[in-house]
Amino acid sequence: MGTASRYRAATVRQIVSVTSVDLPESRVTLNVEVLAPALERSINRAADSIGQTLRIPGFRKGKVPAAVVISRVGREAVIDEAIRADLPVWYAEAVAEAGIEPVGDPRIDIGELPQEEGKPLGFTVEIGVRPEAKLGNYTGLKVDREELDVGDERINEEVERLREQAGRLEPSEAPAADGDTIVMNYRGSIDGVDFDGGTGTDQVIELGSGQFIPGFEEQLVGAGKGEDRTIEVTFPEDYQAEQLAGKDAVFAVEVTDVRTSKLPDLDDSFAEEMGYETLTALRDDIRERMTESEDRRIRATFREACIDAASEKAKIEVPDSLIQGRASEIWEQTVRSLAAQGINREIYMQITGKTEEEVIAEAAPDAERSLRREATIAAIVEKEGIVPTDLQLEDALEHSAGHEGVTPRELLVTLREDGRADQLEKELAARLAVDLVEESAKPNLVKPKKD
Amino acid sequence: MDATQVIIRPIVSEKSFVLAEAGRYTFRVHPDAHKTQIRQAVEELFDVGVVKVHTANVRGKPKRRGFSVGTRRSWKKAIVTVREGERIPIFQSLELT
Repeated sequence: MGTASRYRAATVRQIVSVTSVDLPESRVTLNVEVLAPALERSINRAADSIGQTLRIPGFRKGKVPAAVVISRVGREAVIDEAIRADLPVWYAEAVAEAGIEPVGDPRIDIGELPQEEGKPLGFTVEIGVRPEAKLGNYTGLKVDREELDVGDERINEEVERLREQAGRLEPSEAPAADGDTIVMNYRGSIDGVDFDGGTGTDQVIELGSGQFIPGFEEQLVGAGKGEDRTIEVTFPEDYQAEQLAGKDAVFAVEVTDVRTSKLPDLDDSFAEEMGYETLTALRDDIRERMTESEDRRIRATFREACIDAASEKAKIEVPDSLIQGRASEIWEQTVRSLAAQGINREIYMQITGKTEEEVIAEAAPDAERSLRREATIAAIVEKEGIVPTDLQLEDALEHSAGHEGVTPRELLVTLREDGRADQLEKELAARLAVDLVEESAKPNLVKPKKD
Repeated sequence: MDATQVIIRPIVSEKSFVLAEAGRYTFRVHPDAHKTQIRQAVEELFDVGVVKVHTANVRGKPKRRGFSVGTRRSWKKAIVTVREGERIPIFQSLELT
């Protein structure tokens, strides 16, 4: 039935024609016409999909030709179906054709349905677009940059953390101190009656970890191996098990073992255990890695600050409606990434105890900042005439090409054929624009903030 | 016999649509029509050149309902091959009937 050729043709031929009219508040109206051949294709596709469920005498189910479906259910119904299926495609085409950067939800109005074959389908789209920035100065800006500071203090912290991880529990005959781990059997009762879940054997507990009811661990401090103790505690009012909350309880505890955590000595043999030759080598490696990650973080923050500084110098009008639009886009994205973790919208609302409107309102400052950044970057790209060279593109593809086992050049060619290179070029141009601002900026070193 | 009397209606079925792709169009025709008449009728009605006409008499199926026994009407089917490249907009004629 020539399905393959139909789809191949769709990628090559023009699908829509667009004229755009600028509106105030950084909105535009697009007058879109779905060209007749493209429309015919999607009508036929729609008819096919309707035909899947249609029973017509003389045809097996799902074998009804498009033309028969159209004459049976009416052209209008088929066009409706075609619109339902393909409007997103047409919309995306129209946006690409008009060369605009949409922000927020579009308002789409479908005009009259074409009655005859060979007539195009018109619709209008009203959508917010990324505001234009009138650039101010964007080179040689003074921008705060955090000083790179990987002092001994932070390395010591890291070493100490490693040491604690490497700590071993060793049996001890001495009475248990705070921080020691004990093994115990216990039996709890309220008013002399044992309660459910109140008994346990060989329970391991680290004193001072706060895993048990308040007061329990504290009263075990000083207990030695083999010692019996009676502990009196009160369950907190907000304890999960309601029948226990707020009750006084008595626990008979038999301490079967006391273990004290022994930290390894801070010397070369500890370093060896960690896979280094000497303690100095270990410290050096930690320093190196910290420096690297800190440097990356500082650089990223600095780049953002550079663009923020440039956009402050620029004149950008960001209407509220756009901010709203972007804010809800951000929210939709959050919802999607939460969905990937198996959290749906309702549950999230329950966890945070906020309404959707509140969450969107909270995203507004972020939305405004990102709009300003994008507008500034786009304006710089335009003004500087930044177009990434093939060489730069290939560099950027180096990594993902390695993943797929092709050369960057091959990958670039494939992307071009699929029409996916545009996106890459845009991203790279934006990165180059930020590079430009960053390189010319005069960093103003500031002490790192202690947190 | 007038052309519109010879050609009664197109046959709309999976089979007939498959044949139509190859330029062979299927019609129900007058039981007494002969191939020459069918050729002339199709040429006149659809403005195409006919290469070949096949006909078949389709026997009506015997049907019973309770005690009453009967048969469906017998009819004549014609499959008309048109000149290569020519088409009969069969779906439009479908709307006419």
